[in-house]
Amino acid sequence: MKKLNNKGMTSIEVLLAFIVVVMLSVSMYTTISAYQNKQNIESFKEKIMTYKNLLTKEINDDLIKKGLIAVNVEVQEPNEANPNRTGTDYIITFTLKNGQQKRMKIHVVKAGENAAGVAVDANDSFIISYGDINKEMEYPIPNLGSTKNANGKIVYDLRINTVEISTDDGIFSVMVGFTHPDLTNRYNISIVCPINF
Amino acid sequence: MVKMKKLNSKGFVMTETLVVAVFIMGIFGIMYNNYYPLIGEYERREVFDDVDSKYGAFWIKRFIQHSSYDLSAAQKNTINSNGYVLFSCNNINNDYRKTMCNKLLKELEVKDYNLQPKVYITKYNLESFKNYVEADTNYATFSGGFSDYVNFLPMYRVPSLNDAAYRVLIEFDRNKNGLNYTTYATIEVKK
Repeated sequence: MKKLNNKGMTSIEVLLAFIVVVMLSVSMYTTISAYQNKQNIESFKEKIMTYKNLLTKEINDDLIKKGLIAVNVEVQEPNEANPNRTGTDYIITFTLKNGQQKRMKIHVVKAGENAAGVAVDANDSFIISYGDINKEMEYPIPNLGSTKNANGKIVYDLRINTVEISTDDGIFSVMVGFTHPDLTNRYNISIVCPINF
Repeated sequence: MVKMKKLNSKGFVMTETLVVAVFIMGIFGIMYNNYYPLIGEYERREVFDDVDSKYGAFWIKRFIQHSSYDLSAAQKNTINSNGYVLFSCNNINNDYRKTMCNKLLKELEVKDYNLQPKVYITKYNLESFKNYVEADTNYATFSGGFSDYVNFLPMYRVPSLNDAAYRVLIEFDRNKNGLNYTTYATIEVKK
């Protein structure tokens, strides 16, 4: 019988092998971690785009197929009479050419302080609703993670940071801008439609 | 009695191991080089025919198709002779609609809406327009992004099911919410 080589490895060989394995693991970790991060961001983007496309289609279907004849915009926000109001509600009422009325509501509550800079004790809440008056369907913006502020109130990663509405010169326009730490301000819902065209 | 073959227990020499390692690395390198541009391509196409731009293109098409928009015979000739014309709200012969049109372009964030809006009216079939854009190699007339978009679009050789003879291609400069990027859209026009 052949005599087995039972010399084993030298400590140098073991050390070298160990270093190679560590180097490989570290390089793989960086790559995998970068891909995982990219995958998360792609997943966030997909959720926002699905949300945006669903809502935009719902509203534009009515504005294009039925025709927009008039728009009424009401903004309920903290003011001198009610400086402690928690959030801001944008209420847009569309009158369509077939006489039907539809309503879009944008509800914005930011944990920490309201639009007037007054401290409020509330969780973040961002909901866009749309549908027949008093039968609006709620579309809460996707939850892409959250943290808690110093008062223990929920602060979502994806937030509505701006709402711009205009009805000047016969053109209705609403832009709801989102902000997210990983996606910056790239995503928004933008609906533009001529009135009584 | 059959003699059992003695096994070669020498293992691989360093050179063999290195050759295999280099070979595998080469394969991975090729795979990576082919895969990575696909990500860039996908990200680039996010700005082609996105939902906001498509709805924007729809409303501009409605303004062109309206009887108050004058697409003159000379302009039609220019389009048909392998060229294009740029859309202008000044071609609308109704003051109220003209104001509406200018506001629409502004709200839709059409590129250069206050100077010469980047709304190209071309033939439905894009074959000649593609050649026209491709010939602009130093991007003197068309931006690089727009050239990429036109290159990405199909020829539209099959006639429109709606008998549309024309098409609009639009560049949008998205500046709302503190960012700046360009999107593109196209839609057929029946005039």
